[in-house]
Amino acid sequence: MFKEKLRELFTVYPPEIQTLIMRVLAFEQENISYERVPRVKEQIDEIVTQVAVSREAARGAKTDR
Amino acid sequence: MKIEKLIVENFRQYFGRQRMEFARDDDKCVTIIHGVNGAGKTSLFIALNWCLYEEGASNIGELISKEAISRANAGELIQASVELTLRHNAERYVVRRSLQGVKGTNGKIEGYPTASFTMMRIRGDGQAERIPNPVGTINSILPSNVRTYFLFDGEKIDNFAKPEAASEIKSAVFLILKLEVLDRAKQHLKAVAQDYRHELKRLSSGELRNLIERDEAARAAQERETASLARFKQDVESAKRKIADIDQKLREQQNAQNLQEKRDRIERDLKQRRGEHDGIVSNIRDAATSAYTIAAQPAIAAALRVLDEKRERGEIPSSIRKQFVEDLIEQMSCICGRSFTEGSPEHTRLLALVRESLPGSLEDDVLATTAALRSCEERAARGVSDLDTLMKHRTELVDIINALEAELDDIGRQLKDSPLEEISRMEKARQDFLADIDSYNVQIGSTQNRLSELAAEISNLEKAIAQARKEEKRERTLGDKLELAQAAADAISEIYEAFADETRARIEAKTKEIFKLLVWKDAHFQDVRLSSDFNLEVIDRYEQPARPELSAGERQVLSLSFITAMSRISDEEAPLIMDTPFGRLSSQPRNNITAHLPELADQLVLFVTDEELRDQSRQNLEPRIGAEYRLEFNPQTSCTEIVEVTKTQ
Repeated sequence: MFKEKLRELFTVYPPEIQTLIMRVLAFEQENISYERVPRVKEQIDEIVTQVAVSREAARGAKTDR
Repeated sequence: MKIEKLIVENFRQYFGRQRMEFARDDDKCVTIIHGVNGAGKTSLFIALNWCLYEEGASNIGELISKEAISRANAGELIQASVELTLRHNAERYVVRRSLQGVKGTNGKIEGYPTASFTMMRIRGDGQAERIPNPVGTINSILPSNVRTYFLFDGEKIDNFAKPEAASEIKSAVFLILKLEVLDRAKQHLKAVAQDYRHELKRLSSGELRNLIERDEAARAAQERETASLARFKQDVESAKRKIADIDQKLREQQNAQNLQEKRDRIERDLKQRRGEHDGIVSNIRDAATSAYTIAAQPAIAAALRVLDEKRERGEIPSSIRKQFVEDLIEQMSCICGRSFTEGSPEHTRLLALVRESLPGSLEDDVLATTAALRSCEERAARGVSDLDTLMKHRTELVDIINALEAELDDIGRQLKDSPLEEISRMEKARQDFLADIDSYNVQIGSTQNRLSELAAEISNLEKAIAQARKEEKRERTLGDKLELAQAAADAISEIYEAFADETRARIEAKTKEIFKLLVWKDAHFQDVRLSSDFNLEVIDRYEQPARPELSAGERQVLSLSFITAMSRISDEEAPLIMDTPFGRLSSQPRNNITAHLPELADQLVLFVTDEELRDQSRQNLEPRIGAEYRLEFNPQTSCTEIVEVTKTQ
C-alpha cells in the first residue's frame, strides 16, 4: 500500500527521477538493518550512473529517430 | 509473508529434531501454542527471532540443548539449528540458522560455536537455490527494524499506551512506514550530489580549449616551416643546377677547360675523402664508447693485484684441496695411506677442514673474475691501439681534404681573375651560387630543428588533448548525475512531510477503528487521536483526554489497537506472532479481543498459557484455529516436546 502510495506521489516527477528514487529506496530497504552501510556512496553512485547512462541512451535513440 | 513450518533441533530445551506447521488458510489462520510457565513458549518465540534476525538470543544462556551436550562424547560435534519455511509473494523460502560446537573434556562446548546462516528459494520444480544476499532478502520481506511490531512480546503490550510513549510511537511510525528508508535515501542522495558538485568544480577549468588553441598554433607553425624547408631545398637544387650549367660552359670554353676539368677531378676526390672522413669519425665514436675499460684500467690493475696477492698467501681456498680432503674422508684413508675409522681424531680433523673451507665455488668465481679482468686489460690495450690508428688516419684525411679545398680555391681564383670577361663573370656567379647554397643549408638545418621541436610539442599536445577530452566527457556525465541525484533528493524532501502526515492520519483512523472494536466500553470512548507530535490519546464522551484514567486492560487494548493498526496499514505482509498477549488481561477484555483478533491479521500465532485461553476466549478463537500444539515439559529430562493437538483431543 505504501509502495503504491509513494509511487503515486512521485508520478509528478520525470520518469528517470522516479526510477532513481525507487531503486535507491529498494537499496535502502535491503540495507535497513545496517546502522552504517558499507560503501554506501559508491553503491548509490552506481545506481545514479546507471540511470544517467540509460537516460543518455534514450536521448540518443530519440535523436537518431 | 506467511510462515509455514518451523523445525528446531537441539535448541535450548528442545532436544532432538522437532517440528510444527502453522495454520495459514484464509478462514483458519490461527495457530495456538500453549504450555505452562517455563514449558518453552518464549524459547520458540526466541527461535523465530534468532532464525530470521539473529536477535533476541543474547543473555539467555546456552542456545545449544544441554541434554544434547550431556549425551555427546568429548570431542563430538553438536549442532543446534532453527529452520523456518515461509512464503512471500508466491515464492517459498527456507531460512536456516545453526550453531555447531565441539564438546570439550570439561563437559561444555569448547570455545565459541561456529554459526551459519542460509536462505534458499524453493523453485516450482522443487529444487532449492541459494539466495546470495539472505540478510538483504529478509529485510525486503520483513525488515529487522520493524520485527518487534509483528513478532510481539506480550509483556510489553501496554508500552505504547504509557504517557511517556510518544518517542516510541514516533519510532514505530518512522520505521514501519518507511520514513526511515525515505530519510536515508534523501541523505545519501544529497551526499553524493555534493560529491558530484565538488568534482565538477575541479574539472571545469577551460583547459581543453586552451590546449586546442595551442595545438592549432603549433600545427600552423609546422606547416609554415615545412613550406620554408621545401623552398630552401628547391633553392639549393636550383643553385646546384645553375652551378652545373656554369661548369658545363666552362668545360666548353677553351681557356677554362683545363682548369674546370681539374676542378671536376678534385671535387670527385674531395667527395670521396669527405665520405671516408665521416666513416672514420663514426668508427672513432664507436671505439670511444667501448673505451670505458681504458678509464677503468687503474682500478682493474689494482683488483688483479689484490686477487694475486691473496692467492699467493693462500687466503683463497682451493677447490682442488677441498675435493682432495673429501676424497680422503670417503676412502677413510690418510694422505700417507694409513686407514682411519669414523669418529677417530683423524676423521674428526678432516671433517673440520672441510667445514672450515669455504664452498668450492668461491675459487671458481675468483678464477672467472680474474680471467674477465685480464680480458678487460687486453681489450683496453687493443682499444687504445685502435683509437690511435683511427685518429692518425683521420688526421691524414683532414690534411688531404684541406689540401684539396685549397686547390679548389686556387682554381676558383684563377678563373675569376681570367682576362676573359665571360669566364670571370661565370666564375663569380658560380661562387655566389655556392655561397647561397651554404646559406640555404644553414637555414635548412635550423628549420629542421624547429620542425623536430614542433613535432614533439604537437605529440605532447595530442596526448594532453586526449586526456582533457576524457575529462570533458566525465564532466558532462557528472553534470547529468548531479542533476539526477539532486532532483531525486529534492523530490523526496518535497513529498516526505505530506506522506508522513497522510500516513499518520491513516494510522489514527485505523487505531480508532480497531480500538472501538476491541474495547468493551466503546460508548464511553469517542475518539482516538494520534497528534502530529505522536501523542496517542483517547477522548471520552465528554471530549476530554481519557488516557490517565484508562485501566490496565484498557491501556493494553489501546496498545494492541495501535500495533495491529500499524501492521494492517504497513506494506509488510507479515503474521502477527504474540507471546503471552493476554497474561495481564481480565476475562472481559480478553474475550472481546479474542472475538476480533483473527480479523486483524492474515496469519495469527499465539503463544499462550492454559490460563490465558479458556472458556469464552477459547470459544471465540475456535472457528479460526487451524493448528494447535501443546508444549510438554518433562521435569526428569528438563526437555520439552512439541505435541500436536488434534481435534479429537
